[in-house]
Amino acid sequence: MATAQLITRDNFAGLLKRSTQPRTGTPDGNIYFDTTNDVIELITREELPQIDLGSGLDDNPLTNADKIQSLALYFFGLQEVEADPALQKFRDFMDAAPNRLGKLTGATSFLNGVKLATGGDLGDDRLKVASSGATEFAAGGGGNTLIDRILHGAKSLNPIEATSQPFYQISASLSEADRQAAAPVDFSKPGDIDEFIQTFGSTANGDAGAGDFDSLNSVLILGVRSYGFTVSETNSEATGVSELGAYQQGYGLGETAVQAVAAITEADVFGAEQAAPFTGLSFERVAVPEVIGGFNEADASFTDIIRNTGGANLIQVRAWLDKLMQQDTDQNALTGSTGPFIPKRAEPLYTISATGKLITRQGLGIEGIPTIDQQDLIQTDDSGATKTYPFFPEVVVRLSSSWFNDASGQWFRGMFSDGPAADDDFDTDGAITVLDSGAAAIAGDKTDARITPVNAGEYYELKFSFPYDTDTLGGGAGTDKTMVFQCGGVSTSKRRTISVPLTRSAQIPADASTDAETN
Amino acid sequence: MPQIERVDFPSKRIFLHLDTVGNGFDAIAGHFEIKRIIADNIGNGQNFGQVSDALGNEPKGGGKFTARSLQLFPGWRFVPHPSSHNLRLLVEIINPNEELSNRDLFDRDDSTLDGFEVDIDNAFTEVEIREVVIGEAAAGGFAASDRAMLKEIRANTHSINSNNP
Repeated sequence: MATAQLITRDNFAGLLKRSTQPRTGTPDGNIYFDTTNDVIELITREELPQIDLGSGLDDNPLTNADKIQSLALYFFGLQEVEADPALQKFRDFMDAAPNRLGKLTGATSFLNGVKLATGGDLGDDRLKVASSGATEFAAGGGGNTLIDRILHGAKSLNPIEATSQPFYQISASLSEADRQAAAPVDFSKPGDIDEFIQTFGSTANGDAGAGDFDSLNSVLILGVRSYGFTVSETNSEATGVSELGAYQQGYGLGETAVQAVAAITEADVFGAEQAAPFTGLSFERVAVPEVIGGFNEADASFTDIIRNTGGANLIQVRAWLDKLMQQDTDQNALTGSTGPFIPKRAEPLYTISATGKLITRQGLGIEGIPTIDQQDLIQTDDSGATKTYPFFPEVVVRLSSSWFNDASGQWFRGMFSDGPAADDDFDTDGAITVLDSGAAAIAGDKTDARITPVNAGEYYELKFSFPYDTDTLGGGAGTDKTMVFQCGGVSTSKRRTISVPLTRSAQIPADASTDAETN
Repeated sequence: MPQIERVDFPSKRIFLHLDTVGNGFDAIAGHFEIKRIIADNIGNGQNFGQVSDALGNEPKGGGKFTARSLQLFPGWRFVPHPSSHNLRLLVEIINPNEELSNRDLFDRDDSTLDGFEVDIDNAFTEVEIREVVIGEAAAGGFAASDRAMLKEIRANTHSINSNNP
């Protein structure tokens, strides 16, 4: 059984068979040389499931997914010309460029106006060629001097999910304006990339379908943005490609699964069925850069702002950004004043560092990221400077319903166990009450806005962020401290005293549940 | 009827109200007054560790409840109202950590009572359960001579049982 596979110069023998008829007739092989029209047809399994390769009908090994290397076609053609005097009457149909310095890998030329056929099941047999680059010369001009098309071979070097649809842009440069003008084009099939991209075209010599453009010195941008997977992008400039010539070039594009995003229902994130908190997210390009503060570094200006009125956490914002970056339509909520912004055409809005931190692209700020996630976010301001948040662990203290519902009132207070001076420790008149990152005292009663019910009032949680990196009330900034947390009721709830370590941890849970009074 | 005049948190002293002179001291009622003082953060009361805890009053069924008592935390002492009187304790007061109870948990120094004489009586039903530790006499158990006597008694008991199966 002939297995579907990429047909190369090394394995084509026994896998290719010259057809006696074109695809419009009754083809009996997977390669047809149309000497009348100077066209070569690549007839894949999708069009012709079985062929006789010498031992009866067998599966056609040439498929749309696995494709054929143009060098295989060249050497197969040489073999057929040698064997068939009828073909020897025609001018050369192909040439293989020498493989010099590795740059011209897969480079071939289609000579004297010979071309791959259009039509067929994919509309263009050029899409059935892989691991190759090619120049198509016109028939005129005295012999292979006039170029109709140049086909740059793009190949992804890292795995892409079989269901993920990669795309490319040919942009004059990597500037935002040029990228916004460069429409994305899907590759012919999802999954790993290995196909021609036309980078030059001229209709002057009779190839009406070639178009008239020269993108040889443009930037080729390749991307894949599938929900639940890493956002991946690379380009020819970053790859060191100075000219998008007629050869095969590998590009470091690939994707890996992001389980935390995949776990979020895609329909909730974006589109008609969008749900909270994603409904509170929007992209705004503001006319006057907004100043955001609270960083370890100086306050910074941002021109692009992700509004987050629904309190989405960082992974939810990431999921939403992933969906936003799939949109090839204007997504600027302030487009009337600052113009359109088409995310799919733009540089990815974020990258992920080696340590898993989300780094926004230059000029993008994100509002309202919860304290617990702030250590995983680095924002890049308009000037390109990175901004990090001081470490503010989220302290979550569990309070019981008996405390919350004490008929005569209740109280809570957090104090540093060991203050910096001799007379300010807990259990002294001068004990220092802990302040949260907003300088609000950790003291109050059930009316405190930082207290929220859990499971419809089964118990309650006091949540606040402790300014670990900046607090000096309880000792040196950025050092571990201990908070003594006390709470009590007046008539129906007992009292509880607990010790809470204030350390460099994203979240610090504590349980200050109290029993009911029996007296 | 108020039980507590004021609480001095730094010195861990609870001053009883004038009403306790004639009516006795209900420590449980006093406990709830202390809780109110702390909830209002009078005298920075929330800066300090726990003062007291009310124990007992657990339902036993049939409308009956276990005996009530007040646990006073280490270092804390009541101070009677400064007048010569006989203070009746209406609820038992304990401090297991310091192994003190009732009148031992009152500060009756001349300096705090301005020379007034205060006697303290227990006016609640006293129930005491004593645990006898079997071990060396120094640890509260039997002395060596006692153990020898018990051994002899056991031996005789065995002899009688043997003769009267």
